[in-house]
Amino acid sequence: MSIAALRRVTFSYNGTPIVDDVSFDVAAGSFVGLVGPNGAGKTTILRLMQGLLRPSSGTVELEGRDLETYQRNEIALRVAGVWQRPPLAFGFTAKELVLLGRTPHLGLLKWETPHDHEIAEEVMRQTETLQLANRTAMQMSAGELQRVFIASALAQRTRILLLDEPTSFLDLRQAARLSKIIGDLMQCGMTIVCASHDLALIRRHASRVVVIRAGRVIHEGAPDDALERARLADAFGMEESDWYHDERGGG
Amino acid sequence: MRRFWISIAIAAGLLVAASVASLANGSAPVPAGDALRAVLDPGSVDATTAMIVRSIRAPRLVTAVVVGWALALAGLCFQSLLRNPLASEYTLGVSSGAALGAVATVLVGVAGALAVPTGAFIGAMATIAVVLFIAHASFSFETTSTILAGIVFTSLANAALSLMLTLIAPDELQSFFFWFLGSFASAEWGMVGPVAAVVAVLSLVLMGHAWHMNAISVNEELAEQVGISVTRSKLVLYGVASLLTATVVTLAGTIGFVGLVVPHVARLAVGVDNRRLIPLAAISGAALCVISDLVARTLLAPNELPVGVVTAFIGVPVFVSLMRRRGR
Repeated sequence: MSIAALRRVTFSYNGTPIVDDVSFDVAAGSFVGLVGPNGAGKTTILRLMQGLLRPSSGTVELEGRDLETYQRNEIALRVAGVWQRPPLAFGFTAKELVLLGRTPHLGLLKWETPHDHEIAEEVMRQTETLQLANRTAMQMSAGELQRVFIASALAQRTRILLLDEPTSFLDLRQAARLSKIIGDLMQCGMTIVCASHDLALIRRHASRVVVIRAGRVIHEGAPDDALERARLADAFGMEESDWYHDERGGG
Repeated sequence: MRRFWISIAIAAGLLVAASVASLANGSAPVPAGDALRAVLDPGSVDATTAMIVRSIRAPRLVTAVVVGWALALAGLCFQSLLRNPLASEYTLGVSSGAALGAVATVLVGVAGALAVPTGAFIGAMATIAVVLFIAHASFSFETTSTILAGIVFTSLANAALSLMLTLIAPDELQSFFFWFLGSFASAEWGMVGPVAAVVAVLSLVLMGHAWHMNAISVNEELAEQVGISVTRSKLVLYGVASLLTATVVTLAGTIGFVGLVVPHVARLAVGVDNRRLIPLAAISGAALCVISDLVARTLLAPNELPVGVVTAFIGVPVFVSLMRRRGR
């Protein structure tokens, strides 16, 4: 059963379509990989799926309902996301950033309970960020900050997780750890939509892959088929002979 | 949390000590014990002392408390919204805009008890709208350009104020300097009571939005993601900050640097969580204004300095060192 879907979604900015007539379904408990060149519209699709952007036409569905009919808090209880972020102002600590993920679960006055702290610490252990708890964003590397944001999204305890280049700043050990976390989450029934150039990650987990170029879906199917070398070379506008990923161990 | 309670205790202690000193000192010094008795049990001191303390110094003290409290909260709110520690009602031009609105209301001759506060509020809101519009037009919304737009607007508003002052009869001029330099001299119970009530309500609204301020000051998109309606929260927070500024301006004119300096010092003490910053900044702001007023009244007694001059003398060096730290 599909837990989220895009139905003929177009999103234009200053009259230029960034996402152009895109439709696909996300089955509950599945991992959907979004693959395509830089600027293809992958991040925009993820933003549309979380209601951070509104489609110019078409509908984004969440649990069978138009996303526009949801309150912000209702979306936050169902969908969490990990994004590549601009620098942060003020010195919020890693722990404070992770606790922000508990926002949709907090009461009217927004004071966290011991239970919220327990969950925050649990996801920080999972992402190996507990030892960073009192460090501020300024005192963390890009990879450490990335893991803190992953922890924050996990603290949201949603059924759907959107990942935008989740391994981009991670070293080999942390990328492997994230891959394991993703495997564990999927065991628990989590639905994941992940935009990434890390084809190994996509190959490992994806049940379906959507290939996007210039805002349009050019292929959708099983990973083996969608990630075929000739197809990807075409999607990325490159010669097949220029392919070096196999030697690199990437895909 | 221990750090928070210690900071609150220090700020509150400072406020209480400054308040007692403020009640006792002035052109006719009163022993501190008598000053306190005049407040708590007026029958136990002579009538003149009771009158001086209860009718002149006490309303002035409460005015200073309310003004400092509100200015610090308005500054904190603007800094969180703009994610910039250099933001405040003064640097954004909101104070000048409010003063302009108030003076314009007086000049046009609109009558009624709420006319001047309404004029000040419209001035404050119009300023924040104009400043954000200018900053937005320069494509780097909510960064340095907002502060720059605020400074430019402050110059414009001050020029307009000067222009209006030239239109005023010379014998009325003295009272209008109040809008420029800030003063607690015209404090009276009839005015400070309602303003204190408004500020109390606004403080509670702000406290209810402390978590929203946290999320927005981290990153607006992240705030949206965790379920906060950012547009609605920002509207509420800009409204609260502008209203705080407007009420304070009608009470005491434009007083700079409290809103800039106090939140920053509070942040150094207890970190960036607004749920801790709001109470600490409010009490510290009140303490700073009471101390500044005490200095203003006693430094060159019997002459009185405008309190805005004193806060600026304290505030400018702090502002400069802040800029230098950010520049590094």
